[in-house]
Amino acid sequence: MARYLAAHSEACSGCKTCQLICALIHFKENNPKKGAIIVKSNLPEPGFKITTCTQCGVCASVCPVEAIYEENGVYKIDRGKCIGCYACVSACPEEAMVRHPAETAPIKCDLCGECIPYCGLNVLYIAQV
Amino acid sequence: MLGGYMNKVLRINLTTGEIRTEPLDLNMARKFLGGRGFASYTLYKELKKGIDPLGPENKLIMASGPLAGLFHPCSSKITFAAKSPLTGIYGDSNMGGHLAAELKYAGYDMVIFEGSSNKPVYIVIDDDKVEIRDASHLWGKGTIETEKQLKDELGDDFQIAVIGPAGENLVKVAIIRHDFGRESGRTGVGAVMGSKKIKAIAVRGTKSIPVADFDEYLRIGKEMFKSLMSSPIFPEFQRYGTTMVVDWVNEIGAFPTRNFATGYHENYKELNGTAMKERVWIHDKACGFCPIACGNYSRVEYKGKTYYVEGPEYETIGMIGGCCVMPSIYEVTYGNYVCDNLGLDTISTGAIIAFAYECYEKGIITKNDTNGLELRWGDIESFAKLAEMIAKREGIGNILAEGVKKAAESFGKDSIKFAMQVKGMEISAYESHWAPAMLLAYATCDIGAHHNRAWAITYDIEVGREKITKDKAERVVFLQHARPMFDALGVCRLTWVECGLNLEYYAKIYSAVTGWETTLNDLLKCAERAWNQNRLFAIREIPDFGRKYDYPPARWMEEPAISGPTKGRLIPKEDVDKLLDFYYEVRGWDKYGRPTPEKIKELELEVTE
Amino acid sequence: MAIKIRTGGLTLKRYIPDIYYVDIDSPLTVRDLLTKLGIPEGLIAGVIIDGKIVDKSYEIKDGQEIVLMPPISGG
Repeated sequence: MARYLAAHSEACSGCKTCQLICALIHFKENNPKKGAIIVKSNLPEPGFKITTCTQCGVCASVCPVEAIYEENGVYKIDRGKCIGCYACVSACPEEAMVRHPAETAPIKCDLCGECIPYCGLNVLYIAQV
Repeated sequence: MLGGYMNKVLRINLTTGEIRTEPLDLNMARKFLGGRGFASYTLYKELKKGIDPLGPENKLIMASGPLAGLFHPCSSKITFAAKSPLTGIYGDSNMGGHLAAELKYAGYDMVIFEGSSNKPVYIVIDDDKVEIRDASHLWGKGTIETEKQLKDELGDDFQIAVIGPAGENLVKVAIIRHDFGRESGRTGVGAVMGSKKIKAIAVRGTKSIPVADFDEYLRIGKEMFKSLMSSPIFPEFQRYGTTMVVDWVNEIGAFPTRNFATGYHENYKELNGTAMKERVWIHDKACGFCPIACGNYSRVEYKGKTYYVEGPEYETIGMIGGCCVMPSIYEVTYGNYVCDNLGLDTISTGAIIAFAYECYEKGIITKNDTNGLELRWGDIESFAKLAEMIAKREGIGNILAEGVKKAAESFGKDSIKFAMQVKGMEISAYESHWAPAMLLAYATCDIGAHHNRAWAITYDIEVGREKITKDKAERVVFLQHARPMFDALGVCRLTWVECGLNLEYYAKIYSAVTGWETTLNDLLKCAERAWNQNRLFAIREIPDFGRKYDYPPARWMEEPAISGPTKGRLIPKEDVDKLLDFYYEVRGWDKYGRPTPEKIKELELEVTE
Repeated sequence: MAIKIRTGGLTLKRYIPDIYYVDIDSPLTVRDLLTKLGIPEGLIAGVIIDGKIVDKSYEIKDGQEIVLMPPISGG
């Protein structure tokens, strides 16, 4: 059974708390641009769109240095091993991987679930398929 | 390096094109916190007495706060400030969205815009790279189109503040708008931006905000989120929150109807939250890091066209719906769109148009003055047309663009008595014929009549509306420190009174973030310092500034409310004087309303000529 | 009959805890309940019962949960 972070985008209000807590947990930094969730607005048309990682593993399959590995159905990046070629970023079918100018390795969701309780509108959840 | 702050100020001179950074003045940070505190200090220090607010000597401040962009609820409020073209004294206006946080991520606590450009420009702040770019392709466009076009050109990850035609045309109630629905609406900061020929400011940052004690900070931040979100009524607060205000305000007779002649709109159910939610609302929209999401994104059809707008919020419903007596939420929502896109403050514009309606009804102005436009209460068509004339300074719009006080001086015939303003700024949406504490809050607000400094109407109800007592002044003074403290920290104040979050949290998190051990009293002292600084600014500008600038309009003191729960009520001038006496005493000011030398010394303020 | 009241915000804190149970002997309206609890009517911005906004003249039934909303300063 596959598990991944999913979102009811239609209920999102665009506050980006999920990005900030993600960066705090994984980098100990106040920097939502290092969060592994992508929140985009359609404004001035209504609505927001959240992109999350589905743990499909395509990133791991294209990595030339095997820096992305699977652990209990979750794909994680060995940030020491990564050479920053971004083959995974281009290959990601969900466009869910994040690049940050201060980081060599891209940033992806490791399904820690820390973002979920801080979403005021209960947009985020763990999907099981 | 001091945590919470980015320790850097950006200075952009539009006349010379010079762009430079300076280290943050730590003495200022200690004494004024940030946000509007920085604005108070900087404008008093750097502006020469008597300058033209719309000339190159004025400075436009964009200031974030030490707690903005950090992990605790609702941490993204930015202040725009300048010498106000509307009031001639210190002016500022605060807005949410994502700009306050983004400015910090880009590496700055504050930006000071000086001088003025001779051609339209927009500013791009992309981390350390700052540019002044040509904006001739954007000049003349509405706020929505401008922001959209810049998002398309620069990228969705830029946070952008823009002005509309009203700001370009130096309309004194012009706004700065951001995130398709957040506004620095008051005191005409949009006109100051327009006078510098800045059409837009776009900011993107990728840096991290340093904090002194990371673990303690994150622990408190998480606790604040949990405390807020575990309130037994948090779900109802999100779902119904702001939508209940219209009903309540009508029940207590404080809905500013018919240019504040009464506190009761007969058809308020057509304007209330249920009407908004069921007829125009599409989805919630939040500012940065806010779990409440009080913003509403809406859709309205008008003459076969579809318009999207954020709102209408309570103030807009009060000032367009109540003050101009609109029949339903549809007209209010369309009026909201018109004002926002033109770059006009819905509060002041609602007040100005209501004033024009009343002048027309009384025959003080006629069709000859309005280019043949008929002005009628509740007529959205004339509202929209008049708003456009104001934004473009066409015909009578050129007079109304100066604000309700100047318009009354121009129209004469005692119309000043129902020009609903204090210190030249239009009163926002709490009708105070029978709410002495709220009236006092408006009368003494440092920037002119505005509710956000002290929202005291619930106190009137708690202790008795008829009472003219010192505790009301004490309450107003406390609120005038506590609420602006939030503006100085760069965070939203809705978490506090409304959602019940303990105020002490802010001292705790500020201490953990900065490494400066700070108490709540210390924070409130900073807010008091800024309040007095602004009073000193006004006194420096206007030699006889004092009590006579603190009176509400005659309508509240001489003309009883005409209907509703407050029918027949008013607060006579002698009671207002009593309230002012109490207020000055509580503040440590003399009987003319000037800070005493002892107070100035206590607050360590410098007085300059 | 037993009634559960949920509320919040600082304005109402001095009148009633955030969660409060009260026993009443005869049917009564929301307005009567507020009087009984000593809460000024003007401090209640809205009343929600069973997910619906109701008037203060609404008659409370046994076992109902009542949400009392404090006033909010609108922006």
